[in-house]
Amino acid sequence: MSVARWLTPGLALACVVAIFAACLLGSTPLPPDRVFAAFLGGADAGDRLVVWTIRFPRALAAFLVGAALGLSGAALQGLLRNPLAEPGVLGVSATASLAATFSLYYGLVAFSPWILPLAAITGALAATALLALAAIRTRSVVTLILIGVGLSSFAGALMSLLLNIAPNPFSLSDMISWMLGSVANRSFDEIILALPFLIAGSAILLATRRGLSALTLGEEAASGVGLNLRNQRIFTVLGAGLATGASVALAGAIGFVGIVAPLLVRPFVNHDPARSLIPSALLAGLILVIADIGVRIIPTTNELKLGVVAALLGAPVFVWIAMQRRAAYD
Amino acid sequence: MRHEAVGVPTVRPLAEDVLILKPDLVVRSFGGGPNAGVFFERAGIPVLQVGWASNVDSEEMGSIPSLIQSMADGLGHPERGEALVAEFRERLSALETQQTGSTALYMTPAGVTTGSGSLVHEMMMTAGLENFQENAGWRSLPLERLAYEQPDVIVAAFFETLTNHPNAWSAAKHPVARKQLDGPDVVALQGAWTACGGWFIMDAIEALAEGGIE
Repeated sequence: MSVARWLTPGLALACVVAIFAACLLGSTPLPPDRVFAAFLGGADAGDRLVVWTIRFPRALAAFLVGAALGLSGAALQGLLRNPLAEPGVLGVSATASLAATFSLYYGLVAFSPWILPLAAITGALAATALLALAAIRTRSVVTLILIGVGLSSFAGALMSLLLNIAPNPFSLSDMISWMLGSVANRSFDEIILALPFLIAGSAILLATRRGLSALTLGEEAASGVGLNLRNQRIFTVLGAGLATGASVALAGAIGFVGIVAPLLVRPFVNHDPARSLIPSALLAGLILVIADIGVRIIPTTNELKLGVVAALLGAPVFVWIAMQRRAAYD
Repeated sequence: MRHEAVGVPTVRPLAEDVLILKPDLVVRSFGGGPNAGVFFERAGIPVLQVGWASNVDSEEMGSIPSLIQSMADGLGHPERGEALVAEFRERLSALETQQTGSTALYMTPAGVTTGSGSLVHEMMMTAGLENFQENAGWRSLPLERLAYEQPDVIVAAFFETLTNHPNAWSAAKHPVARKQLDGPDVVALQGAWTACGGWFIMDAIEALAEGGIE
């Protein structure tokens, strides 16, 4: 039990350390004391500019995106009672990414900078709502995952269509970033646009977490103990849609992190979805901050995309979980 | 000249679409893929290949005067080529007295810049500027270095092109980069000025030299 007690504070501390470590990396060599001084407002103006406008926003963006996806993943897994449910696998991220690209591609973003996060969130909400409707109609987890995979493929196909008719290589490179996910060159400008939606989504998911615990008893038993199933579905879908949409607006589609973090956290919280939310968010945030450090250290000609690294780490875990479950559902 | 080209019918670089027009000559750069030139020649249509510029005016292959002349020769007007080359070299020698040594950073909406080994670098050097980007080749904007040091001149290219919407992850969108574009010493280059090998590159070089003096 002692591990469970220290899980959240330990993860929070690890996140702070990882974000600080991420701020040590960059093309200008900055020793830890100068980074620390820059954080506290000391050091010279150049150091402060590098830390506060370049390195810290990037690390913070990676953390926030991971946290949003970890939280959404853990909540969706609780709602659907399926450890494979996750914004990336279920096509929520791909749909959000498509909607964001569409708004950029057709110049809708010119009307207001808020159009971009709103488009991503609308895409995410549409996908989560569709999945929730499907979850009501079918009790088969396999069918639900297949619907998610179908949704993801359809969004991918429409994205490929946009790639196909891209007017120039610059647009093409932009769209690829939306598909592969990245926090390169993120600044507080983008974080501020995504943050209200991220906070709102997270608050909704945390406020309705008790219902997820009740759902582990099964839907009928949960209704029996007074859970309003309809409201639970609506709020979880709304919260996950807002948080995922905000994360996509900030970093494009990053998959699998929402599966891996709750999977690792669950044994330490007695498989209680409500108690898994915050540690899953912190762990997923930590994973992405570390993955982004990896992206910057790995000496490739072009910087790797964060979503690619996340998928390389997460996809084998997805296959492993699916294989573990096969016996129970065949 | 570009204004005169507006409205000229265009076709995609597909062999069939080109052949049906029965052209007397195909002038091509890279459209249609690497085998297009050989294909048209086999179909009996002469092909004039637009070369690749790698330097402004040196003895090496790929200088702009050599490209101008080879195009003029291929089009059957060698004397017009000679006149263009003479004018190009005259404007070039007028610039050679204006070496300012100001540092310049090339910026595009996609957030890339260039060090040595590119025509843009050669153009900046010819204009009497020093390239702020010290590392060779095409690279992302050096955001962290810009936090400590400022180039004297920002060479902003392609920012006028409407279809070239800024990449959402472009380093050019970062506040540190945007601040550079707000400064007084920004030389805006039209994307078309830097089209490889054209005599109009001199317009860009002159604009750069002027920016260095100011």
